[in-house]
Amino acid sequence: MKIAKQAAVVGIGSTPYYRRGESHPQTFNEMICKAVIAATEDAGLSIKDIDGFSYYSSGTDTPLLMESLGIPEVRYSSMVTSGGGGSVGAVQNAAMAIATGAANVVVVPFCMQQPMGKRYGSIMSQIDPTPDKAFFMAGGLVGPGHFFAMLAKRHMHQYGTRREAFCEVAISTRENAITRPQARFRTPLTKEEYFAGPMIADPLCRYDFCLENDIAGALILTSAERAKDLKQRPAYVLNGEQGGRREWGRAIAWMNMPDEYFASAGYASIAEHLYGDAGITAADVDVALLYDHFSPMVVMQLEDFGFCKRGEGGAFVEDGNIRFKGGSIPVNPHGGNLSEAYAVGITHMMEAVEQIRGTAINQVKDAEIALVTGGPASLPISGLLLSR
Amino acid sequence: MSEIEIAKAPPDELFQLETDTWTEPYWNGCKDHILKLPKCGDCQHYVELGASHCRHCLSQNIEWVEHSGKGKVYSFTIVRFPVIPSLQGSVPYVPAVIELEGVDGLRLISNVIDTPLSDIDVGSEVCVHWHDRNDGVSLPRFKLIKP
Ligand SMILES: [Zn+2]
Repeated sequence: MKIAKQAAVVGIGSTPYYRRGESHPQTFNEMICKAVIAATEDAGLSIKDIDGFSYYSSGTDTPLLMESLGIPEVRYSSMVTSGGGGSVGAVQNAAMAIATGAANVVVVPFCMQQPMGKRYGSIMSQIDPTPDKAFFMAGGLVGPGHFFAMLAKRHMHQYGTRREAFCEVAISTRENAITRPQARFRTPLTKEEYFAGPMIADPLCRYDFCLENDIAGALILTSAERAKDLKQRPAYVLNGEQGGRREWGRAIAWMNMPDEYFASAGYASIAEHLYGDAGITAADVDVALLYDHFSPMVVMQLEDFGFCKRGEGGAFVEDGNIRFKGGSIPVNPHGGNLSEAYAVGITHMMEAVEQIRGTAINQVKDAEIALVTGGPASLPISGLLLSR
Repeated sequence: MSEIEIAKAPPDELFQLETDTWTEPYWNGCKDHILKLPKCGDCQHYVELGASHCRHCLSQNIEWVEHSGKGKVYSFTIVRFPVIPSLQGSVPYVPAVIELEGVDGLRLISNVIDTPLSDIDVGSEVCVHWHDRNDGVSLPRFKLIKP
């Protein structure tokens, strides 16, 4: 993408963070409306200024939102295909729409709300049978953890990665959540507790799994020029990239990735384009908001995004490099999906904006460039750079 | 002393089989206890299960070739926690990615069964065993080949 700093995130907003299923009787669209209203207020814009919608992971119905919010005209409405992998691709799409003049003020809304009595962790068992799903359903792969466990196991085999590394991801992320009032888990996690945690899908124990929450969040973007006169310090879209290589492809849903891709997060090509077009390297990134649905995938993303060499992610993490305090690249200072809340990427995006504004609760000093990633998953996957 | 844990298998009720033009020959082979893999009749590359074209030459001349069912565990997990109630009696079971002998670019997702958990590792040699369900569907599963 070659539209550096032509658009900026100027507003963020969310509902309270609910435990899974506890946001009812509010409806899905009601939750989104609340987040969008909060984001426009944060930006100092009127809700009627919105003329674009950019979605990911199924999105929602644009005219429904227009009706509830009194938005007079829409000039852009699009969605990144697939699921959480494309999350930050929606911000890229919004920036592109603004840079091309397709729309002036674009909102990226997302809501995760679990039906009462159903859990995301077993989502594969709730979807209708199809010919392609037969190949993994036959093996009893019913929750996302079952798939990612096999990537983690392979990484351990190929590179000698230890569970201690996954433990450090969980512990450091929890450490960050402690100071966050809305975080679901706010008590320190010890190494002893981690290793005493029940094994769910070897090598993943309870503490390697993300939370399940009901949250709606929204980002508002507009042009760099207009952003200057608004309430908040703009978080400019330095670059965005969505897609990925065929070798990664359907990823966990087919497990046919060649060796060098299998034990990874699939992000190597995304990182290359993301940094390359922005003219930066990993060394320029001040804070990384890495999609942490499963702790080993943080280790693999660190390798893909060049914070350490391929295969050295385990040692890199164990050496304390991702700590908020004293780490060479602070990862998820908001407590991530593992300890703060999980809502398919929107919480990472909001934290990146606060880091760039300089208003985060766990503020990385003088953060100028933030990296945000979508979930390692079936393509498209996505990466985003926000900057001052 | 801890007792030896044996790899079980996921329950039959977990999934209903749906097939289409490009996967039906595979499942028909399973019914006959023959592992049939899709291969391009023109350029001889193996083709992804379910693909309508050979990605190397775009041919649709897909042939179903018989495989011995021998391979290696490429990666695996031990599922110990029943995420849904129907898994209650089935844990621990071992989903595994199987790399089949002589096959490049086409791995199977299956289960390693009837094996002490501590014997299963990446690289373990396995061979196919057939599981016949009551609804007429047969599934390839794998057991360790003892040295
Ligand atoms: Zn061919």
